[in-house]
Amino acid sequence: MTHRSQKGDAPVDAILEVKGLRCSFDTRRGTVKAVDGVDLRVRKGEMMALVGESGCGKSVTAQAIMGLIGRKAGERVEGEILFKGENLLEKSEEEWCRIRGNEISMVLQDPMTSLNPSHRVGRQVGEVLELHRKMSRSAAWSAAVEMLGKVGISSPEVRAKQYPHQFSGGMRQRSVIASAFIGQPELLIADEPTTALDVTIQAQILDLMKDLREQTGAAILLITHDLGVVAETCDTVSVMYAGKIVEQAPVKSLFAAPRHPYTRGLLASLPKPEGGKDLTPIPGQPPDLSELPPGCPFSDRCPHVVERCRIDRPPLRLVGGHRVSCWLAEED
Amino acid sequence: MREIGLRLRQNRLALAGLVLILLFMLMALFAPLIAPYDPYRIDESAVLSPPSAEHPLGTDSFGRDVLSRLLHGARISFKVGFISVGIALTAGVLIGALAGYSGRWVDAALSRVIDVLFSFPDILLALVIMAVLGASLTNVMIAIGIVYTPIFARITRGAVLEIKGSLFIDAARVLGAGRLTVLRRHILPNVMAPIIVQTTLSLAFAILAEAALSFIGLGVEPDTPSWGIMLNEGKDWMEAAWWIAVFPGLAITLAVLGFNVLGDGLRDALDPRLRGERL
Repeated sequence: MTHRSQKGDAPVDAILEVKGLRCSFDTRRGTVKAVDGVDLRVRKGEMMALVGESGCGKSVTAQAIMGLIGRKAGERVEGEILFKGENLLEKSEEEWCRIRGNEISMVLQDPMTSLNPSHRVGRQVGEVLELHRKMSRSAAWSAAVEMLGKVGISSPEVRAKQYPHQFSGGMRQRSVIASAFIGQPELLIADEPTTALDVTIQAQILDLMKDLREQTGAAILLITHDLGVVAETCDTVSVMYAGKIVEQAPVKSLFAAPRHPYTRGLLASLPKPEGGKDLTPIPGQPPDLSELPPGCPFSDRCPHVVERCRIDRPPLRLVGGHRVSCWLAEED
Repeated sequence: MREIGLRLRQNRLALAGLVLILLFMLMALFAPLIAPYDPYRIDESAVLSPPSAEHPLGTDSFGRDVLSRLLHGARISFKVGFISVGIALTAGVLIGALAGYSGRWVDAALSRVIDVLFSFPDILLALVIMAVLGASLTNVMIAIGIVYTPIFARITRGAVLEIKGSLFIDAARVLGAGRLTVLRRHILPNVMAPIIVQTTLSLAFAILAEAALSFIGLGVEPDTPSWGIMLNEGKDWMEAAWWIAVFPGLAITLAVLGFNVLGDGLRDALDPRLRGERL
């Protein structure tokens, strides 16, 4: 069962709504605004991509949604993270523990180190059930074996008894995905789940995630810097730049008609299948997150920049079915 | 566990250490049954008699049977070893895990205390504690326990700090594991290997420390059959009756050697990177 995104936002079917999320870290060089006003809306069963270059705040956004930051001195998280209408930022650590793994789950970037080397894979996959469903160890184990089979690990009874280092990278990521889906979460956040894997395995892992989404109806927020991955798998895309969302649109429409100059630049810098033409990089560097300009964060690199861009920060507004943060974006 | 056993079995030297220690433990356990004489019985007719059929390891200056005292001495040595290392292990792992896992001021405070304890030479610290508490078997165990606590605390803290930063700890947290679950299920199992190795090595040191303290008269009561006391008494008769000092000395050497090679073997056997490989 899938819910394709439609025009006309009905907030009722949004499973996750992030409003004005700001995350900052105090460092010796000053306060770094890693996330500076992010708005996101993920619908039930939707697969949304959060794209952007390294250091744009994608992972921090994910960590904030998981409640992993904001508890230490010098870390600040502001705004609202509404999950099924409840603000997660107001939850206590105990409430968080009940949500994590159970209702919201996460797949981390590096499968090589995201499994505990001293436990058998089956135990780790079943751990969620022991934690949240208070299942016995043996019941969790058999559920884990079944889940390992579902994620495409052959002879799961044997494999479950092995330790992570006996698994290949692809199999480890399958196991991590198994542990993320076994609790039947309503939202899965996948932080660059295929970055550490080679291309053929990447495709398999993405297919697996798509299949599991069809089966469970979970919404997926896929964090990636790879637009190729986005085009193949997602329904909608949010493009992030310097701690802000600059454009949000259905995937086809984004690739066909990008509205934000940064999105256009990203697409222009992709290699084309027909080859020949040189890649067109975006000139310049992303701004220093501890000294963000007052206006549009992309203004220094934008080919169309006007006076207003440097003074006023453009809000996200609906332009031709896209939500765009650019003063110059216009209806066709 | 079975794998670790198999891997250990391949290491001949470690296996020899294990056998040696098991032998000593059997001796200690059954000392009252296998000792030919009462270790305290003074036989004035057999003072300083050399090894013979009647007294296989000879007798000391009071005519006490050296073999019987040696067997009973094993009880003292192993009792001191296990109990004092038990104290050090429990206290050290608790302190180290708390310091490493909590971080910040808890870590700073505990680590400074550990640093202070560490700055004393082992035997000096044990001497000071014994001088304060007074010579007795219980106090020996407490003193040695305190002296070896810092090493366990430091090893645990270091290992916990290293593991705490691993991605699989984040992975456990995003699956909803609370702080205690993370510590118990994900951190402690991964720090066990160095702690187990340190335990065997510390057992050797503890046996040595008890012998040393008893040797200089700050250990157990002087008539107790302890290897250190026997060594002390024997040193005065080295020329006339070498067997009084040599046999307890040999026992200490073998026990310490046994624990050391076992510790080294365990270090290799417990390496998780080798786990699951074909044997």
